[in-house]
Amino acid sequence: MLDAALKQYAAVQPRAGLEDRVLAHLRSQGGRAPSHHWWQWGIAAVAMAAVALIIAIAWRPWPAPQPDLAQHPSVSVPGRPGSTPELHGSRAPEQRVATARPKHRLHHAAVAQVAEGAPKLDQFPSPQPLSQEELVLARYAMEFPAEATLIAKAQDEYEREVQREMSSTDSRIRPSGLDK
Amino acid sequence: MVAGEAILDRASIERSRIESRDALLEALVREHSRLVYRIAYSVLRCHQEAEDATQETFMRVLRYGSKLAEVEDSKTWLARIAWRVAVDRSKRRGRTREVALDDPEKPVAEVASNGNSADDSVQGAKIGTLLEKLIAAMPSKLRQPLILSTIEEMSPREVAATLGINEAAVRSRVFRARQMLKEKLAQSIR
Repeated sequence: MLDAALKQYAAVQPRAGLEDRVLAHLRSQGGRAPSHHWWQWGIAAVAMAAVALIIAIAWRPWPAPQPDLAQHPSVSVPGRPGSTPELHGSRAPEQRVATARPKHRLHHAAVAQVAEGAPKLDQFPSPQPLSQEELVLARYAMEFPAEATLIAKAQDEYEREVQREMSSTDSRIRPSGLDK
Repeated sequence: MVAGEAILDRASIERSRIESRDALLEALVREHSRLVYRIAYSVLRCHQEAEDATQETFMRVLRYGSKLAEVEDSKTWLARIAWRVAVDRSKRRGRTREVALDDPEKPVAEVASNGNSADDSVQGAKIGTLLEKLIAAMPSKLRQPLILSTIEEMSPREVAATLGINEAAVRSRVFRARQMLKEKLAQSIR
């Protein structure tokens, strides 16, 4: 009984004309069957393009690294007006650029830069250019030295007298103020 | 001139190669398409899917192209491809198809129209349906050699080559599968 059942189980026939249908399908697909040669050539072309790209990237000259000037925005260090005008004026541009640092280091960096970059001066405060009045006086002293000396002595006497009067006035005022 | 002749030679060689491949392919289809169909049907249990699997099998053969002539045992080679195609389709489908009693796609059995009485035919159909369910429920290690061995064109050696196991294993598994079926059928009929 099992043999008969298994025979029945396996006894299956395809619809008529299976071979023809398969062949017709193969013929219709045969022209579209991918050629191995084209497939291989395609892979070879892609591989060559990849190698050429790698070589081009490897041989390409890289641009020189940019200085800090180009990478960071320049930050101006606020200085006290009139206090050290010569320092600001005498500092080289590259020194000013070098002070551009991130904010948390700005103050220390600026101070250090001033200390390092500015020349040490012999006189403090540093000599100032003469004003218009001083220039006139200097010219007068050069042209009339005797009169200038007399005027200077008289001015000096006048100054001493004023000082003396002020000191005597102070001594007279102080005891009376203390008694009160 | 010489280059032109060379091109013509290459074209004629290519044409003759394609013609010989097509002739070989046609011979394979004429000789083995029914075997391929039965193998596919034994796994898929559906006529339409078995025919699709048969087409796919020969499409794979077509892609094999120029190496077709190098195949030594074309029958076993085709059987192996057909088996793989059918198993892949079965996996894609997700489950082994179980045929219900009133399934309109139930395979048409040749023995059902051999002049037996109507009662015998009904009894045979019931047993056939039961057998399908029992085989579908078997472990695949036993089911695979059994369903291939039921195909009359397949020898145990070819079944072994198709499944990639040795012939002794095929015989032993088929024996165990038949024993199991005998017991289950006897229990069901009682």
